[in-house]
Amino acid sequence: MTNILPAAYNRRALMQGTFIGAAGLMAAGLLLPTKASASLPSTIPGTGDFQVLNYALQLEDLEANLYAQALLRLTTGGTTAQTSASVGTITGLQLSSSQIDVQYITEFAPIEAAHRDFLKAALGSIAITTLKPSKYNFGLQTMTRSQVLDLVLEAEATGVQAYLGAIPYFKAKSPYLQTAAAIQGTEARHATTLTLVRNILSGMGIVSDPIAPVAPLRGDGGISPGASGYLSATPNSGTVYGADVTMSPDQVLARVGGFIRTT
Amino acid sequence: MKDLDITMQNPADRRTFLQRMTAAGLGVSAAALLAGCGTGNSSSATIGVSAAVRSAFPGVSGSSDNIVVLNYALTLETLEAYLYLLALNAASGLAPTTPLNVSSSVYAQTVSNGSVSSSLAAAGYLYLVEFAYVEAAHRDFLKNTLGANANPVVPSDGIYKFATSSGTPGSDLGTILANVYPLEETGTRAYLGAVPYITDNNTAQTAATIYSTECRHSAALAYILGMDIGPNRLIPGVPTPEQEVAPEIAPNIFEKFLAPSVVLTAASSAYFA
Repeated sequence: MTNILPAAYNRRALMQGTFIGAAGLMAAGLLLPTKASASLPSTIPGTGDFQVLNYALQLEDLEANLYAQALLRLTTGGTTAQTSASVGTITGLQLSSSQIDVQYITEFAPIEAAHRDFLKAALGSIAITTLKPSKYNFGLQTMTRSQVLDLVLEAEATGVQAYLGAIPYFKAKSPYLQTAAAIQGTEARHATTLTLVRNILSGMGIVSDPIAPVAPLRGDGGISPGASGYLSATPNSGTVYGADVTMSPDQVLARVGGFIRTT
Repeated sequence: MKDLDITMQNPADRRTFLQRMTAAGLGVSAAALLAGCGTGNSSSATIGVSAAVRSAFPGVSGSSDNIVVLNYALTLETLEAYLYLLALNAASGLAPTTPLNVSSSVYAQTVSNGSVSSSLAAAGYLYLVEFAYVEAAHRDFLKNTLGANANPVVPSDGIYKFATSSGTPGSDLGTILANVYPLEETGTRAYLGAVPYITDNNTAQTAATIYSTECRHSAALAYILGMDIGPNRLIPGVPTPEQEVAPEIAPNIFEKFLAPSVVLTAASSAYFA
């Protein structure tokens, strides 16, 4: 296996503050009274905390179906729940289960399904009723190995940010926030692991994508060594460096909406 | 409480929902939080702090629930940043007290790879560098945000050590990363265990952006060390979660959480010199 860290990444990635912008906007509200939040889109059923949990359920259902279809594409192929013949059958790329992308997508698939099943069971009759596998078309049947991994990784990364962006829609001190965060953390682990897997495959020349950071970086800008070893990082700027960023429900639904068939 | 009315229409749903969605013990703390806002106290350090937070975060000061929780987070980030710096210095052949350099590009691995495979060693060392800066940034962010309210629990002499017989992080990359790994795992469980005590969603959201970063760090280090990327229940050097969302299902479905008092006791015992 070749080195998975081109020299360019070592320097460039640490210099970048690519994850900082949105976090700064969000963190400005820290320690201030909670501002009134806009509503979640009315297409998500329920009110209050239960609407937020239905939003989570919609995303988990999408992820679970994406994983199932991605595994078909990477391995033996097969028939999806799609009713349309053009997308109903996925031809497999016939990769071995020992390949690390197949290995981790196989490992994570049942976890996403478990998140979906947990939320669905917990919500019971309040759960969003329009979930069915036939609703998802990810276009996987024509994707390369690299594209499949990218799409799964993007879904996990979106999940991390979507949960964070949904927090303001919970009621303050909601008893469900901790459970939602307990799911969100696993999405972060998955996103990091799949990034690492992609970096390894990139180093081996198997996928063409550039090496990417496995976690939000701290930008070098503004650092100066403090007297006691503290870094004096832009005092009182309200910006948290090196933290995951949020994505609003509108942004999330715009990103994933194309995968959900309306017919 | 209008949304709760929906579940009231179906008692079976409501029972299932509450059983599954609220982990054991959480209901108690949440109820206590509701009851405990804004009462004065003779000590200026605890004015406005609820009884639930006062008892849940022993020794952590602050003038409101959120400030106590953020000082708890600052306690852990200060510890993590200090120990990451010790680890980075050890892996880079620098004296333990060398401050974090203004430029991350000066760091280079000088120790052997140890148990880390040669194909993953460069990544493992890079993560050590990256995460050392990020943990310092988390600490600085909390410190700056708290301003005059910043008051983390620190060792009496300000010195931290690793939970090894020598107190040092080790002399090869594998050992060093293996000794850093429990810090991240403890951090993820600590943040998640503190969530019920945060009184507003803006603060909760910001804390969560740091929390999931710790989850990422933990997964990355585990991968490099050839371990399960987690979440797991039992990890050497990390307090075992006394409760979790759904203990009956596979351990990797939900992150684990720890009571603040458990974390504080374990951290001071293991890492305060």
